[in-house]
Amino acid sequence: MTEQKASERTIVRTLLVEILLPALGFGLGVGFATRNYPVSLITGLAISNSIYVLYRLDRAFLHPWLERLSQDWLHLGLEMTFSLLEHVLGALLALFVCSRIFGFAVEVTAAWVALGGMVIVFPIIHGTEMALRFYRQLKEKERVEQELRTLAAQAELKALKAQINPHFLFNTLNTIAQLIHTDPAQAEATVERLAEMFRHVLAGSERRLVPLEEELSFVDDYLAIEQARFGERLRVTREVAPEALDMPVPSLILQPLVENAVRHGRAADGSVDLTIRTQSRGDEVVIAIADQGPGISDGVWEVGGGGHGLRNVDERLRKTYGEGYGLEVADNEPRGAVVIVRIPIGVLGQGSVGGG
Amino acid sequence: MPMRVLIVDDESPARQRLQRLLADIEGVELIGEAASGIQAVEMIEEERPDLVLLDIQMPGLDGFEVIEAVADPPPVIFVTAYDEYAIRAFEVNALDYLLKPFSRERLAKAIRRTQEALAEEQDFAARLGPLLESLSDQGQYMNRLAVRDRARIRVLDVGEIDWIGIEHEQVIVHVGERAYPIRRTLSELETRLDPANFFRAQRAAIVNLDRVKEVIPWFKGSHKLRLTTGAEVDLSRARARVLREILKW
Repeated sequence: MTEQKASERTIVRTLLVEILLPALGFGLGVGFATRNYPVSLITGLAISNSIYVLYRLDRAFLHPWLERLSQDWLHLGLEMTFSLLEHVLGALLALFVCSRIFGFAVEVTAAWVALGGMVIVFPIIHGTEMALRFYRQLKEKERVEQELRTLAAQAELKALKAQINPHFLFNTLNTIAQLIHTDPAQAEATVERLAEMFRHVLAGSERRLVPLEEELSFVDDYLAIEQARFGERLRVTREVAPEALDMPVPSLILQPLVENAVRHGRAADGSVDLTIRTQSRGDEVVIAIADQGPGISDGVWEVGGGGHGLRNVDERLRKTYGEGYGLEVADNEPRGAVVIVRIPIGVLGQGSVGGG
Repeated sequence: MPMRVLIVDDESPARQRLQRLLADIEGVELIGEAASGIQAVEMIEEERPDLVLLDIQMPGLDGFEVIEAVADPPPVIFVTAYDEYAIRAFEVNALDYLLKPFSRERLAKAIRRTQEALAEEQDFAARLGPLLESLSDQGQYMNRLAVRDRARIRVLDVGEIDWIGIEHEQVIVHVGERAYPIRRTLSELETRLDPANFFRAQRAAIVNLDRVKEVIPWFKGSHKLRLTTGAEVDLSRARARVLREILKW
């Protein structure tokens, strides 16, 4: 309903402001000089119409091209120039045609007066409109950018919370409390690993992209702590392609996937058998985390399902690389589930790695 | 006589720590350790400990499910690293719980409290009821049910259950061809099973709605439910009216 009303309003405004008003202005002005109001009014109408046609053509064919310009001031400048040209051209064309039809001579003075009026009045109308529109677009752009910044900040905060999983932290502290008595060296190593993990999380919250190698060593720290907690029951196989190690990846994407596999990929006897595989394949780096647990039919693997850390990773991947790059979850051979991350090479330059 | 204590935790260092700290506390005898929920159920039923120190998050059967699986649960001190749900439930029900990593003093205090409570009243099972109920109030319906399969404990996914009935005053869980007797009441199961899937067909039967194949009119407004397994369960007249609302037949 409101949409329909809005479009009706636009049509009325266009008719009034862009066609009738200028036509009346021109017709009265020239009629005052020539004393031939019918002819001058019709000529005015012809002029404003021809300008309007040129203006629409501009919007339809030139505008999309203008939209693609990255510099805003260039965009505005070109649009104003085109608008001016349309007015002069439209006015001259209509004036010439009407003079032939109605048989009046285009007096140089009258033409100049008319043209002068055109050149001054029309750009003021259109210019104001354009400037207003331009301003609105700028505001909108700012709003969208702000929104994206907020979203990114929220994702980081969520990721931060997910990493410093209180359950994991307190269990690890409890493990350390025991290891201090039974295996001080292991206790020391666990404290060091925990510290490394926290450092990575804190640094990662400031950096969007980190080299894959850093993400993998973060995962190693995490798994070493889990191994101190669960011992033999956690087995990890790594198949890492060395050429992919420098690849920039969004920070804190792998560990939540590995933690998910540790929590939900347990075999019936409680053991966890993980394989972490990274390889370059064409123009992508493919990272796969596979387990030997109950598999995806278990339901906890649904990417959309909350609380399992998968959704946040999925969202961040899609926002960073596009809709086609979300998490893929599949059955693993011969059993279990596998989560696959694909990262396109060269979409985000190496230069964006590191740096605060 | 010392208090006989069982430790249940899936993490070996966590069990070792409890064992070490318990050794310093007077009047406590450690009778064993279980590394999983299923092992815990078996050991509780065999050893009948005076107290169980029970971890909550464990694969397979978690701490609450262990309690639910045991017919007459012994006094329990729950042990957890962090579990917002559970902690709130404990606070409401004034059951003791330990947050890892707990101090030697805190553990000693929890044990002392249990000893005192044991001296006064013996009814810990009665206090566990409200705890489990408040967990189910928070949408935590039972997902798994532990049953005895000869000498072993078998953990059923509740979706596997076809129906639950009473025969000779014994509650029986029917899964395909098998029938497992369990020591629980139907009313208790009714509140713990998700009503979206499980329906009390009459005083002596709960059916899994996914298994209902036919509703056959019987005498005086009562009906029979024929399940996909071929089993037939009576549906009382009063419950038929409720089921009619749910299935919209």
